[in-house]
Amino acid sequence: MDTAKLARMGNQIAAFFRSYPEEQAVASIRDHVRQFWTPKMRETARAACERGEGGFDPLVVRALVERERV
Amino acid sequence: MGLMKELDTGTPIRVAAQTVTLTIDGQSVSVPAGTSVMAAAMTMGTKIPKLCATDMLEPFGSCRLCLVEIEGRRGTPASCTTPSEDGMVVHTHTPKLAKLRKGVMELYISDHPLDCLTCASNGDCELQDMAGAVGLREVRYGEGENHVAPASDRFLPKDTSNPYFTYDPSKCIVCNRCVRACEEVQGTFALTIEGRGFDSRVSPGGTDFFGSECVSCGACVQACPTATLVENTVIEKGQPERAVVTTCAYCGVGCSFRAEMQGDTLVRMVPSKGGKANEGHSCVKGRFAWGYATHKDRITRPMVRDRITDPWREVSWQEALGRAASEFRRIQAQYGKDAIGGITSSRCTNEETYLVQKLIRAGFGNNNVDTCARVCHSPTGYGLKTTFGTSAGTQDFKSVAKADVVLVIGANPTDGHPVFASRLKKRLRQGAKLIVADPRRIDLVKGPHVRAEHHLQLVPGTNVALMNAIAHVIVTEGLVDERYVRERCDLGDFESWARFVAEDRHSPEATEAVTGVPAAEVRAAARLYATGGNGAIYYGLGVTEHSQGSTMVMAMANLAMATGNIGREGVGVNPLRGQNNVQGSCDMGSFPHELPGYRHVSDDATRESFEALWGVTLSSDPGMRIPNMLDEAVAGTFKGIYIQGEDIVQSDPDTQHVVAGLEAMECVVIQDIFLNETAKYAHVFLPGSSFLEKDGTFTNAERRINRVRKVMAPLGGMADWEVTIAFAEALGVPMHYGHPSEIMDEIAALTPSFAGVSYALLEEKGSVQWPCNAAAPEGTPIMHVDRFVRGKGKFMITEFVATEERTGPRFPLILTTGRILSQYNVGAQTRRTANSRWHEEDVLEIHPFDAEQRGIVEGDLVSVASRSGDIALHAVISERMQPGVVYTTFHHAKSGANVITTEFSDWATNCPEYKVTAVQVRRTNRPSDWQLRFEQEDEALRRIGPALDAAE
Amino acid sequence: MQRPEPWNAARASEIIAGLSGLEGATLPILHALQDAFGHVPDAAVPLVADALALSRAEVHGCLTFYHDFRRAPAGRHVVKICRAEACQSVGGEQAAADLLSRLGIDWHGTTADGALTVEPVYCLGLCACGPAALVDGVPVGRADADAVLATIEEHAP
Repeated sequence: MDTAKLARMGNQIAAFFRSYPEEQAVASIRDHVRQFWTPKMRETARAACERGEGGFDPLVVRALVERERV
Repeated sequence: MGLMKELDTGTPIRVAAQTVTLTIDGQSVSVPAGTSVMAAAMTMGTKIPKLCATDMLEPFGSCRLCLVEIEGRRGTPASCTTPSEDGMVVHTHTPKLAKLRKGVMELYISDHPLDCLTCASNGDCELQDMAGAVGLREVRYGEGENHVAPASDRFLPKDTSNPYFTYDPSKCIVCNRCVRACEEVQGTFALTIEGRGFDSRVSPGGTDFFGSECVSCGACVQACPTATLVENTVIEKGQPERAVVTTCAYCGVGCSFRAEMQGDTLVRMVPSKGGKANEGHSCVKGRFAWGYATHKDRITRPMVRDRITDPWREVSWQEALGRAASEFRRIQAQYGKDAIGGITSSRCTNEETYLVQKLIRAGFGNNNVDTCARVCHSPTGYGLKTTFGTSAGTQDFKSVAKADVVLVIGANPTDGHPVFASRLKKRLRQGAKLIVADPRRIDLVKGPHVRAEHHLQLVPGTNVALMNAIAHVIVTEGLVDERYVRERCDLGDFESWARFVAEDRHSPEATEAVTGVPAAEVRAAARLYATGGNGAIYYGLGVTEHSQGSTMVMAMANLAMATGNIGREGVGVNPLRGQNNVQGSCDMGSFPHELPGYRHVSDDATRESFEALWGVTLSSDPGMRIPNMLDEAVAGTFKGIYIQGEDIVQSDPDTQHVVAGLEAMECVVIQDIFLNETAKYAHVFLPGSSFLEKDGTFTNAERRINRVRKVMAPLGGMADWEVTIAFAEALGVPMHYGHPSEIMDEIAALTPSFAGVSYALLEEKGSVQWPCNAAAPEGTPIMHVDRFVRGKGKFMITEFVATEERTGPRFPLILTTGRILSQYNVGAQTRRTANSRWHEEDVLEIHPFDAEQRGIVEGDLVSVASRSGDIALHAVISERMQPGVVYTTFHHAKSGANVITTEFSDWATNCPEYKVTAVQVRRTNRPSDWQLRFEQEDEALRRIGPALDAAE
Repeated sequence: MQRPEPWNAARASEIIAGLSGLEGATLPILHALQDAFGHVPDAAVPLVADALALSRAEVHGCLTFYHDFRRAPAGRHVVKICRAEACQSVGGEQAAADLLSRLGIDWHGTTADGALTVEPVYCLGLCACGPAALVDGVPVGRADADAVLATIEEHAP
């Protein structure tokens, strides 16, 4: 799946969770992506976020790139 | 087994706390207070002669046959209109009554044709029965004025305008049952008695049936005691000899029907009074439009072809399944495990769907399975699971009878769920109030005896803004049910939400510019919902098929929680689910991320229980949704698909993208009853079976699991579940089930919400609403009664985010889509029945203002163009639209309605945004390029080659 | 009697709107429409149904139940002859039969030249002066065929 589409999907998810405090939003986005996206989609998106490409919303970048706080 | 005719008690048995005891013909009988003497007699086995009474209708008292003698009372009161009372002593058959009844029958028969032996109702005629019951031997009235002789000036010829039934006025006894059925049961009021006295005649309002307000539901035909209104199939074939109770295969109401047969030929479908979803009623589709099952277009032999441009070759099952299996394994070897997947059907049974997802997870080794709920109610699943803990509606249909305020959002039940709409209208006629939120003025807004208190005619795409405005009123005007929220909901979430909606920017005044709904209307509607008593929300695809579909579902759940409208009869959040088994399909684990029972594939305990029973390791990663599969196909990494009973080319958005995806695949396997649009791009075709050809269960929108019973052998030789097993066999994945009941047993063993479900239970109870297990052995009509399934109800913050699909100078109008009564979904079934007479083509409904601006008049061919493509449709000028919004349906493949819908979808579930497409409409003089190409390819991609001789 | 207006949907809607608020509005509306237009045409039925949230069939049923409502325009003059018992006892039926045969029409019929429609009515409350009739709304006592036709002359054209 192309990065542009993944970015749009991710940004839509961010738009929903943006109503919540940042930490909660990031965790929710991460959880949503893990529940519903295939490993391939997650990996493609994560790689693009790490490279700073694709136009992903900062919340999505944090959700995909940062490791989950224990 | 025979016909097993259902008992008719003459008048409804009332539901009351108190019972009364009376004596009828010397025998004591007890009935609920308010029950008529006639019904009381019936319960003890005494049939008082009757003609105008039937238990689906309120008593009328016109035929004067059911007279009885009551000790201590003068005269001979009608037993149908006389309520039973304590201590009453009734005699139902006395010499005086016998004489009166004979006299009444003599009058009826004096103006009735005497052609019983050749009449369509011979053997099923209450007039015949009554003449026999009263011992009529002669009719002493001579020649006179009559309605019978063709030469008589009162004679009216038969009305055969409706394709499914005939109206013969010469046999009518003017008992009014048909008129009352149309009023009380259906709620359309299409029939009346024209004239008066001896001239009284049943009339569909001065025209013939087809040209009238009649919606062809058949309630009148069912109610008619004579041959005046009778099914054409009974005229052709004669009386049925046995009946099998099964479930309709059209919409999510899931009506129970008696399939009345002669051998294995279906004569007619009669709604079953014992069916809990429909209680004896139906719509035109379920009752009459079943002819598609034996239509000549049925494919009954497996077929294969190498390229989609080759003609199909009929082959043996072995060859077809062998081809599909070897191709799928080759593709996996070449492109990887994830290069194949499948789509389950929302029209096939629970058992069949379970097997397909089992085949994919256990056989293909991935979780690439999805279902059509993706494109309709997947937001319901997400939204209700998040807020309440369960992905399904909260009530049963009967619950609407206790509602005081009904809020219908983005649904058109008189067209999409007609039997539910009849229940709703009945309640509205009793005084319940209606609020409709819809961009169009649907029939419910104003119709016979129905008037919405408020029609919130919003702009498509602004649902969430409207909900937030309503919530704002409820919170800021102090209308929250604080006690309920405190006891049952998460307070922290509630407080965040309340602060959020209380902001000024969510007020009706602030949102008016966005939604187009006057603030005063919003305030009034909000107050009505919050304070009007039991408030029930019913919604449809006008809620879910948006980029904020899931958000909207959560917004409605928030409203219901805030006002305490969950957990008892008469309230709730009710998704009107479309397909006959879309609920079941979701329940059975058709989603790529969930195993049966809505448990995530990464949930180790759940997955391990499946692994143990299935004997294989399962993937714990979510698989691909349908849009993903198509994207990956275009990208070159997804190459094979097994589609059962689904037509994604016609029903999914952005047709050109769907086709591109399919064309890029190397092996498309379709299992269906017809060569549908998707089959044009297939390499293997496996004949499927209709609902008449298999045993199984469907689950309707009430979570009600209902039996489907086989009445004829599968035309292709195997029922769908048998085909899937054979396919699994060919793939080296053995499945051993002798009967669908064994599949259900396995489902019950693995899924806590279905643990108590079995065919034995269904035989005993007829149907059961899940959850059905040790905690709820009788099933669960109303959910979240003491607590929410997730514990505490969770309020979710629902910020309005406008869709990316914007109107502009190039595409200034919004196209929204929907359905109509006579055609069903992609029309594969209904287009192959006489229903097409009501809707031969999809048309574009346009407001007079928009039409005038473009010089469009009624009937003009117009081009409807969006970013995705363009099509041509005939225009219909319609005042029920609003300026700026146009509307069409998607029932005919050749219209290509989905050529113009976009790739935008719900943020959480990818449910396509069918309801908002920016378009321009212009007059045109030719079909669009896509439509012209369709005409050419339609023939070419469907060709079936001549059968090859074995020797060749 | 007022000359009937030609049918006009907007005018009809106005009349309907004015009376819709009444309880049991159907009959008053049908009467008002007939008073204005001389009859209740088919086109009126959906207007009434829509205004009162009734089905067209229901309005049709009500309309056809009462013989007093005409579905087609009447002649320039309308004669209603009483056929009830008191008038019968003083020769009302013969008087009516005489008039009808002279005009060459049947009950509810209109003469070929469109001049005159004859309708039955059951009791005008003029029993003491029977046979009674209404000629263009004006009561006529001791009404035989001559008396009726003479009254019409007076009202002509």
